[in-house]
Amino acid sequence: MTKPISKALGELKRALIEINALTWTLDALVIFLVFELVFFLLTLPWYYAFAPTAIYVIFHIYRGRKSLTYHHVEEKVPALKEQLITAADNLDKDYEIVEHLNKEVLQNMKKTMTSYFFSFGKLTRELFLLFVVAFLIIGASAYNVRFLDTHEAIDEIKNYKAFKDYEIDEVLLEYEEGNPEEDDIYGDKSIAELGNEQLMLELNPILSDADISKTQEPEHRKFRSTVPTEIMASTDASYEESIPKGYQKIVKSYFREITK
Amino acid sequence: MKIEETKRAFERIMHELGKVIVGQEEVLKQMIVSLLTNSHSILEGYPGLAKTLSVKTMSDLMDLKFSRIQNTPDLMPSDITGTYIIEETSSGKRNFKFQPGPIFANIILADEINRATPKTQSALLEAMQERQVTLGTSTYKLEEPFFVLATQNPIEQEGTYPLPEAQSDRFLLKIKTPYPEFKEEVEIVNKYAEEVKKINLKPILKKDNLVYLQNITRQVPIANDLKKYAVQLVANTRKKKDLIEYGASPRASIGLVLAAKARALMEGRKYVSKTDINTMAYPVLRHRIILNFEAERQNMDEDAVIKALLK
Repeated sequence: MTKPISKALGELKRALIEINALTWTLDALVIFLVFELVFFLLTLPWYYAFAPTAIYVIFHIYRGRKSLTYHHVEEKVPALKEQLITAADNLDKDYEIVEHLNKEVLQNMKKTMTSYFFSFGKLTRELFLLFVVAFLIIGASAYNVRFLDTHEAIDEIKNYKAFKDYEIDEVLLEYEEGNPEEDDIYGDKSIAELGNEQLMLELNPILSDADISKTQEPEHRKFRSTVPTEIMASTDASYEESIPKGYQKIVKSYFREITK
Repeated sequence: MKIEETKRAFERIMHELGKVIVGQEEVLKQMIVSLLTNSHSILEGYPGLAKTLSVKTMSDLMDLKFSRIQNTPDLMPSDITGTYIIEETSSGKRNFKFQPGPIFANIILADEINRATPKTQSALLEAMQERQVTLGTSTYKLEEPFFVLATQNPIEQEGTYPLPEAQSDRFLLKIKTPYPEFKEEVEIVNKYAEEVKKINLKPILKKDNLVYLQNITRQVPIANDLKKYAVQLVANTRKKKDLIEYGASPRASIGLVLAAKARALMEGRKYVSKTDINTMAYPVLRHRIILNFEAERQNMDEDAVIKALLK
């Protein structure tokens, strides 16, 4: 037959678990809603709020294990101090004095109220905070209040010139350093890349000798066509100098063929 | 006797003791603890601090047989245990008859135990331990309850035989008798320096009641954490090498828990509290630890070291 004290201790444990579960749920809800509001204002997905809530719940459960012990009950109910643990540790003993202790513990437990384990101040503050945060979320959603578009801000940061300078663009590097061989063949690459785009030039009056106040409309000038009718090519000593000896004959014969 | 009545009984004992003894409340409580645990104690204090009177009064209140052994260097073991004497019958026949010594009592005051020779001390301590006396081929059981209260004088050590550590370990408590407070001393003077009134003491506890309380004491429940705390405290006396040369034995752990249980019962509680252990740590441990030179250099006595351990 189960002793009344064993039953009472079992009920006490259950009550402690329920009270703690309620407290932890409320705490977790506050954390979730606060983060929910923050993420909403930062234009982040709402479900991101689960992560800090989960971390908080795990941490809280780990730290809150103490509040599920008889020590915690004894702290909250001074009438049970040192009695409750002693009774719990001596459940297997049937001595007369142990029975008396169990009776005393049961009487004191009857006087114990659930309210001893609630912090009404904290509970009120949490409920008020829940109320305020919930209204803030509703308000922010209704008026679409956003402090920051995080995705855009991240993109901006990514494209920020100062950051780009640190990225080594091989093509740009090659372009800036220049390739003398390609320049010889294709000409100045910067002109080729500009194409039909408009080139904006700004002159700093302090650093320039040009007098901007005296600028005039560009004059229309007529150019006479001085384009030669015939283009002739001839050999040049410099080619011979820069072309390896093995290829000189080929080049000479090539130009000879052209002039024909 | 019922459990509910225990607290009232102890309160009445303390009240009755207070009629004879002024102050010394903690000493009297520790003596009762010793009685409840069915153990023996050493009482250390200067002469004239009512050690003998306390024990005598206690035996009167408990309706117990009291005897006193005044230890001297020439005291023989047979002076304590008793001896065979020749008895002549009416028919003229002579027989050896056992004449019990003062040890055959319920409460024994072994005054100035350190003045007896080691041989006599051993006889007394053996009787304390075995609760029986062996003479020749016969063994005589000592009557229960059996409680020895030995006294020691901390001064005048010349010509004494201090109890070896192994023997002092057999005493559950070492009770220190302090000097009374000024007010208490004035009250003592008022009480005993004027007209001597005969104080009538009523026995409060009978032998059976005391045996019942001794059984109940062992049954007082204690939390596992507190049991571990008590054991840890005793174990720490063996670890604190910076101040203690030799620590207490596991016997001290048993004694500490038992003494704490008795104190809890006296206070009317049905469970042991941490305060009981902390309070009883001093009388249980102070004669079981041997301090080293460092403790002496720091002018620390046993109680100061125990206090440090409790911190």
